[in-house]
Amino acid sequence: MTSTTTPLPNLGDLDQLQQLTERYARYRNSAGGLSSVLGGLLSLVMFFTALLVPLATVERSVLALAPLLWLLSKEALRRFYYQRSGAVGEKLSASQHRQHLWLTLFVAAVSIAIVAAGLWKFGVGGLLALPWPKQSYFLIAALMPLIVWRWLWSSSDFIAGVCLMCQAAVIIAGSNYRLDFLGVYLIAMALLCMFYGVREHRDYLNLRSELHQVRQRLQGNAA
Amino acid sequence: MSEQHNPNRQLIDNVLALDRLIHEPARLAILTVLSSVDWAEFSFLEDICALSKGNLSSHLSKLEAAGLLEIEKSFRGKRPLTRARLTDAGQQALQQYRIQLAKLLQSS
Repeated sequence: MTSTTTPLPNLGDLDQLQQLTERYARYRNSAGGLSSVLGGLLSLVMFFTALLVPLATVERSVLALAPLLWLLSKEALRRFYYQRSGAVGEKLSASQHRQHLWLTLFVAAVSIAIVAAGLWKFGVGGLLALPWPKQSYFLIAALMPLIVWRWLWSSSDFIAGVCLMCQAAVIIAGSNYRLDFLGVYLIAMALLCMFYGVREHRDYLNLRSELHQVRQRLQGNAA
Repeated sequence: MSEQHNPNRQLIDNVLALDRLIHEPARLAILTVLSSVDWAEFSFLEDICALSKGNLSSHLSKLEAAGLLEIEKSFRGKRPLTRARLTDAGQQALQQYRIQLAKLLQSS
């Protein structure tokens, strides 16, 4: 028989616990938080530096490392800040999986088109004989779908990551985006990422305090 | 009054119908947490359920033995890493428990 000393749990408390855990798990895949803010910021820095400052090959190479720096900081933020209480895997819905698949396929199609155009223009031998900055352009283009598939699950991370990688490819090849339609689009996307990132981060701060309250309640019940 | 229509009898039946394994507050919290995610690390469960390592370990073993969750053990460097995941049976048992609990709360 059920112990008479065990109090009946409150269904509302259970729902809240479920909801809070679900929100916490989002910071594994579908919420970027500060990493989206950093991605947007790096994208703006890359854009304006390449536009306004004359750059040598070494400086261009350093600037092209921005996507790598961003990915590392994104992983570090997830592990040591957003999920510092312990890692939790997000239960992704079928529509989230579909969206991710379509975005990856879209980037893969663009990537294939770029590499195919390179092969068409230079041939395999010509592509291999290109100077390394030009080769890096094709390498970054080829790597883009893999990076999108592995790391870029949230909309803001996707926008930030793709903008950073596109700029890295163009900058390392010796060129840059100008302040035309595409440039304005890049700036707008960077600002959008930062906006979403700040919103997700604020939601996380609220989540932490709500988690703290639930923990205290559970500790109270246990006592 | 027949036994079937006795409200006290119905209340007792509802109490008896509750799964005792799940009804324990710590285990209920663990299952509730796991029901909304794909998997969770031991340290997260310890933190959110406000349980000691030993307590959590003992509850996880009981739930695993009942087939309600799966435990995956590995290493990150030299640190042991334990992940828990709710099984389909665990998901169903939790749903069933919640239905029974809602009935009980209504009838009490």
